[in-house]
Amino acid sequence: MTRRTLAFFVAGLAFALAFGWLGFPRLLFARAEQPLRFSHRTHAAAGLGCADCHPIGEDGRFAGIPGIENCAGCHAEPQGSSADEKRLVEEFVTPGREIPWRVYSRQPENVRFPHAVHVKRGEIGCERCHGTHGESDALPVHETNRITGYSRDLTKMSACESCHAGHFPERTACLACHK
Amino acid sequence: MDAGRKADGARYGMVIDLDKCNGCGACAVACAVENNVPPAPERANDRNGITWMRVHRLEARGEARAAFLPLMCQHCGEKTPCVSVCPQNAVEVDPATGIVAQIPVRCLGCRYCMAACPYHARSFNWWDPDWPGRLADTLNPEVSTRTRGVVEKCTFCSHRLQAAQDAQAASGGGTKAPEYTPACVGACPAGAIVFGDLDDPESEVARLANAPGSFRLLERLGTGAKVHYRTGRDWVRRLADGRAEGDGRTHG
Amino acid sequence: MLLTRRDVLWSLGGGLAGAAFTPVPWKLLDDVAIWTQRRHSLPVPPRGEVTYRPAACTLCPAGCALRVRCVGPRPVAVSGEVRHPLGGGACALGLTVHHLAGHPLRLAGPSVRAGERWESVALEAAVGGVARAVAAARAAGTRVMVLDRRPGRVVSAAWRDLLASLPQGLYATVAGEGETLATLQGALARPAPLGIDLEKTRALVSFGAPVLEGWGRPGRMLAARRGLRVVQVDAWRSPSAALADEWVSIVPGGEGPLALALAHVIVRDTGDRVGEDVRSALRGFSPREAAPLAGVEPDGIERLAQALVRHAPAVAIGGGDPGAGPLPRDAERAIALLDLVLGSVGREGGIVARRPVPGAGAEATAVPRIALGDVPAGSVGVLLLDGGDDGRALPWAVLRPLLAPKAFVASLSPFDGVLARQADVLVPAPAPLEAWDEVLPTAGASVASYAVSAPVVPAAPGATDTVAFVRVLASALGVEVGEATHEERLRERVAAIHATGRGRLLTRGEGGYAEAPAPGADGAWEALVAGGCWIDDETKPEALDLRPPLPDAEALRKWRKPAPAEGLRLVAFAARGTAGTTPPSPLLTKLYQESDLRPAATTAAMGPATAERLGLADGQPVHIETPGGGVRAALRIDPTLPPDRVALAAGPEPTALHPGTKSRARGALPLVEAAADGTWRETRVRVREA
Repeated sequence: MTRRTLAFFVAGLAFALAFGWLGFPRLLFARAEQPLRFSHRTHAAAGLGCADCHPIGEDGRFAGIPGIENCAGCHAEPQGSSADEKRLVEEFVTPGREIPWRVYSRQPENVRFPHAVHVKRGEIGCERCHGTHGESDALPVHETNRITGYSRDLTKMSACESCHAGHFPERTACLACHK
Repeated sequence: MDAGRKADGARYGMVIDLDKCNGCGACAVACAVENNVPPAPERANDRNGITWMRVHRLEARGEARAAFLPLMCQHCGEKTPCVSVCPQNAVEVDPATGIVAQIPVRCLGCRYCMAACPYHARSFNWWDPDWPGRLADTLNPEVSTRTRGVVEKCTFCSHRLQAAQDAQAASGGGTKAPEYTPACVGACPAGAIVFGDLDDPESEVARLANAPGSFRLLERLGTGAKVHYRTGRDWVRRLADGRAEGDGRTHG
Repeated sequence: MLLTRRDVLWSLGGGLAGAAFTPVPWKLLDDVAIWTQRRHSLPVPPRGEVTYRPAACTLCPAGCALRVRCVGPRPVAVSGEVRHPLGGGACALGLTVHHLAGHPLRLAGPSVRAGERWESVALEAAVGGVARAVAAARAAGTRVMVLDRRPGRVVSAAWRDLLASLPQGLYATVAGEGETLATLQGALARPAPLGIDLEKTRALVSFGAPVLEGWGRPGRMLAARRGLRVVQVDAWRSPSAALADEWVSIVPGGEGPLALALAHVIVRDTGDRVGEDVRSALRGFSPREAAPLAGVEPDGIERLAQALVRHAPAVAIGGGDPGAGPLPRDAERAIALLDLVLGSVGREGGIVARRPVPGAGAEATAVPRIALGDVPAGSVGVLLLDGGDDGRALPWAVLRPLLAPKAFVASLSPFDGVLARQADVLVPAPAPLEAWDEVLPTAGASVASYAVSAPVVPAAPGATDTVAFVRVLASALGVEVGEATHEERLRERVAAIHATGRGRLLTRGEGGYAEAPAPGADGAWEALVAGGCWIDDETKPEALDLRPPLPDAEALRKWRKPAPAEGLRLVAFAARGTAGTTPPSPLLTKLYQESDLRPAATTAAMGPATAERLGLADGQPVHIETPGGGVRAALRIDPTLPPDRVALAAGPEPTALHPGTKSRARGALPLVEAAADGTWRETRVRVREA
């Protein structure tokens, strides 16, 4: 191999590596902003904990992303002075319209993640799976895989398996998590 | 009792009283409503439709009364024919509950399991599901919808078990497999279907399953089915063994 | 330096080698695999909070109590309230009642006919069309008829209020399941609604009524079944015949002669004192004479009569079949006479009187009820078809002869269907679970009861509540019907019931039904809206004074000497709720198509001897025709079907399960020939290869 062919080879290699690691993710994931800027930090500072807006009901149902009624409880009138909050009140709370949040953790339709079992019985903290999301000042950009349609931040089955296979061998049956 | 089971597991099973069943078909329809089974397209028939629960009519010459047999996946024991043939591991027996769980997204549609099942309890999605009108608004979010090309079958409404487990966890209950009611059991107006933990000696289902006169279909195959049947009529009992002797007749 | 092909190839090679160390190929493989699994056309059911709401099923007169499971605002499943004190549970139709609001055949809003198509109009325009037709009928001297298949509701009272103000109003009802009881009621010295003390009855002989697969309150029948010997008299092995203790096969139309023959034997053997009028009616119906008329062997008749006497108290009922329609009036009289002779009228375990459901205006208006069979032919200028469905067939062939030339028809059914397509104007009422409704006592109820069904979901924008329609029509006609809305009328009725001080009020809760301690009128309303029910006090059965119901001399003559006729007898049938104006949910394919549990309207059954005689084979497509029309079907050889008849379902109509189907199977109803009395049991058909 001459130096020239090696140079072209390395150039191709470098280009592929760059594209694969930097360009491809940007191409693959469609970025979208959330409809409103929401600061978890501000609300936490106001004294709200995770379970105040994302409770687990008595029947074990996880509330997920709160509906507009939850926000309307406090924000029937603007509480602060930000432009986003004004939009919240005018465009969503007053007409009773649900905010079209893009959900980072929405699992595929055939998966059932029981928050009640993990949070209440397993006593796993929210941060363990959702990271510092609850302390963020603004919601991160939502990235959707253009091919599969799923969110980039979705917990994959391998993450569930790594915990279950180690700690809960009796709960590794398919039916434990799939519906 | 298999070795992998822990003390808080269960072995869910059913006992169906064939003398109470009057063939109304409520169980079959309740199952389809609960599990997002689509209605058949016009060209479907009783061989290629999707009936997780199906009621068969049994007649015998000389017998005044017909009998009806609600038939669904019998949730066999360890020697499950379908599990042993699946190339995709799309179906398995859950050791904690005894339920034979089918995961349709893993299925590749070879239908080997349909051939293996001696009870013809499995259905294949020959067509993409279609819910006419606005029927799709009535779908149950607790059960996933299936595409064409996969096999599906009765799951003992395991999503209801999951919901019961969630409620148990939320209310601080223990980890013992909870009681729950599958759709067909709740729908039967005659109360012909009893469901519960076969290994719980105090449950109604265990009492009935072990009572004299209870039997399983094609018992001689040794599938270890968890669905038991009861009848006081000999001719029905004989048909259940697969011995028609020429004077009994099943429809479909 | 020039770029050569070798350079390009080497850099491509480098690229490929590099790509293997990036996520690209592996992620693409993985993601494409996931993409193939995800069909974006698959609906994703939205999640939400789960609530349970009470309702009552109104697809048939049973009115079974339901529990509707809703996710957010949407109903997703229905279960029957098994714990209901009068008998509970829900059938396959009730379990899918929540599908009907989204059924493909659901009508979107008021429309008028424009040639072959329907044109959407505003409600006022539709009502205006009806009002003009009423004026035209007045000028022509023809009648304005409301056909109400669920009489006794507050909606019925609203219709009668309207008709009372119109000079040529007619309020017509159809014969129902309780027709035998209604016949006896007509013969009472002091009329009172009649029921059956089923819990103490020991034998029930049903003349073609589907007692074991959808009759009265099925939950009650299930509970009473154990101690009851059921004999089913039917021209085919119906589902009830297959479940009964004994099936007595008769020739079609043999109900009357068999009933009289049984009465003949009982009168002969028990030596009961009966009047000469009864004896004269029974003359000529000894077992030997009646055997060919009924199609039952003489000793079979004797045995059955003796069994009924031995298993006293025994009750005989008719009432027809949801697909075959009502029995002729004289057949009902014969069955009622049999009840009298059996001694089961006015005794424990037999036919007993009960009190009517209180309710101001429900019965007490000036416009009398007329049976559909008594409406004179060609006399109706305007036909208003109320949307309430009794779950029984109503062939157009029965209604057409009643209409005057250029008659105007309006249909209030929420659904498209055979009758709706005959109408000139459609004003669809709200679909089941969208409307206020009531549950009245069923046929055979031995005690009065009442329940209310509140809407579970809001009515669709195009739907018009029937009481509201009556008020708008009244105002267009310039007459008064009162200002009360549907809900207000129901409240008044509940207040009237409460004011009687009778009965007990049961509230429905998580644990079932419990008696409510003396609530006020408002409390009674709240309890009923929340799914409770009111049950009247039970009364001890008392002897009833009645004159014997006797078949007409003309009927007796026809039975004694039946006229010969050509062709095969059509035995139509249908499960309750499948042959009316409400289409079943498409999910009923589970029972009619994806299993052969119930015969579909696309197959016709024939006995093996008949098929052989006609040269037809099992599974063959056939054409079935009458002067009234022709339909296609697939032939099914049924060894239990007696010779010279064809059994064909009247419902579900194939276009109801598969709207837009090109199939020419239509079930039995397009074939039927209506007799002058509104029955269609005499239809004869020809069957040939298709």
